[in-house]
Amino acid sequence: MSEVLLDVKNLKAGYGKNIVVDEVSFSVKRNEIFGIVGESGCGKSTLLKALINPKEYGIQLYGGTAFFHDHELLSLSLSERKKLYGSKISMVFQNSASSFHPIRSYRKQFEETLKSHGFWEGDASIEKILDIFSKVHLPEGKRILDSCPYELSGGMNQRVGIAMAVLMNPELFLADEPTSALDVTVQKQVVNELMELHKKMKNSMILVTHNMGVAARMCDRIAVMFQGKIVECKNTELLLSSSEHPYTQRLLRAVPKLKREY
Amino acid sequence: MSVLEVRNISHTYIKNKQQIHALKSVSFSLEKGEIMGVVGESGCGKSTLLKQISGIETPDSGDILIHGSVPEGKNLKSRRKRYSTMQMIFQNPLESFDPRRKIITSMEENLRFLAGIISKKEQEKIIYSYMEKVDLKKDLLLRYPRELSGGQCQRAAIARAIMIQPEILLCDEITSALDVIVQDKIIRQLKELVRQQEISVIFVSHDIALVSSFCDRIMVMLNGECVEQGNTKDIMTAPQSEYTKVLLDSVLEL
Repeated sequence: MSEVLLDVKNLKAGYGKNIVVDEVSFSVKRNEIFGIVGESGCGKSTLLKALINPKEYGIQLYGGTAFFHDHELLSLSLSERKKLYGSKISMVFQNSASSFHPIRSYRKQFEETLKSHGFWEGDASIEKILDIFSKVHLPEGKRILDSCPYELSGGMNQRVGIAMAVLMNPELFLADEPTSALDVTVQKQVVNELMELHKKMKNSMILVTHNMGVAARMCDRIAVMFQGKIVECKNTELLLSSSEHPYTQRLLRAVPKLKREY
Repeated sequence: MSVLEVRNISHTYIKNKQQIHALKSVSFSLEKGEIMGVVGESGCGKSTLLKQISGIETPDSGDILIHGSVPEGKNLKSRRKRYSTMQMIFQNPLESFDPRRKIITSMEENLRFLAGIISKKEQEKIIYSYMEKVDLKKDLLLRYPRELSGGQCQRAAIARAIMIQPEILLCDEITSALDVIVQDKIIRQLKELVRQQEISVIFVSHDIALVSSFCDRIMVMLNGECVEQGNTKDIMTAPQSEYTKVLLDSVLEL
């Protein structure tokens, strides 16, 4: 449990002269869900994108390291990156439908992804996909495989995105606002499904979200980001019960609560 | 007499040659100074409901009564009359301001045409006092909407809507695009202002926790139908409908 899987030190990144992520350090342990919360513009997504592929997102790096096993993620070559991402590290975004080709069937897209990583085993792979679909509570997996993203609802597409991300059983799973575009009832279901998957697959996860409720439900540890810096990082229970930084306290107070007492 | 009464309104859209029943016989009434929350998930008809009440669309059947009478006519004069008693605030404030006009111009226009205040001096006085009430600096008035942040722009939209002293305020997901800290601030200001001026509010939101924190009454909608309505206290402590229970259960609390 205590083994460190990802170690980020003094990461500094931004766009042009704008520094968006400022000297951020944190580590993610094996089998841990690590949350990064904050408001819009605090740099949480840029931080995650810098770990995924800074060049593709036009992010400039000004320093720092991010070690995943022996790989330094910030200075990977293209071929190393291709090898690592998808199989060892995978990600899911707010709107999964937009990460897929809109008018090609999921069957073709899954096949292509698996082939490009050398994991394609014909019917056995299809069985595996259907198995993961059932784990994320997608009924009628065969019908979904033959559908295109535009034919499914937002919640279903998001589940397919999650299924794709965990298909090759990655060690590290990066999720950027995976439930934010969903209705509240669907959000809760997807949160529960992600937790179930995590229990079964025992991988590590970085969850970036603005929703304190989702973070509190899922994460073992939470880092609060404000203006590019991590201002507080603690175990979830500790953060909720005794936060020290004034910004964290303000953030927690502002979360609307169900008024049950009269 | 109720400020607003909605009787059995239904509305159907046609999309891809299929009929979509966006509203199915929805009824309720709104008293003076009352804040009513409308909660539901996407596609439940909550925004359609506001469009019907505000007159942007006309219902297929049913009546909407303001002070006991049906607002008549579609011409400029009758629309102005309608919007002087009823104002609407939308999710994206940038879209509700004219992008080519400064904030102050939009506000002056509202005062001139909807509240009948013509004197520039008086307009200025009212605008300044409301800017103070929503905690915005005066110099923001000379900016264009795109030069304000989302939260600032939404507060300006609230000020603009409330300064003409409407009786009814319709809010459509007004804080959904904002961060929680900004949301908290805006809701406090809105609540104080509407209580002061005894404005009746319909507050549409997908967030039942937010609605429960400041509305007097709640209506829960599902697939175009009202599944439950009642006092916030009753709905929170003893929800009747299964769907309301599911909604309450879906709130991820800290």
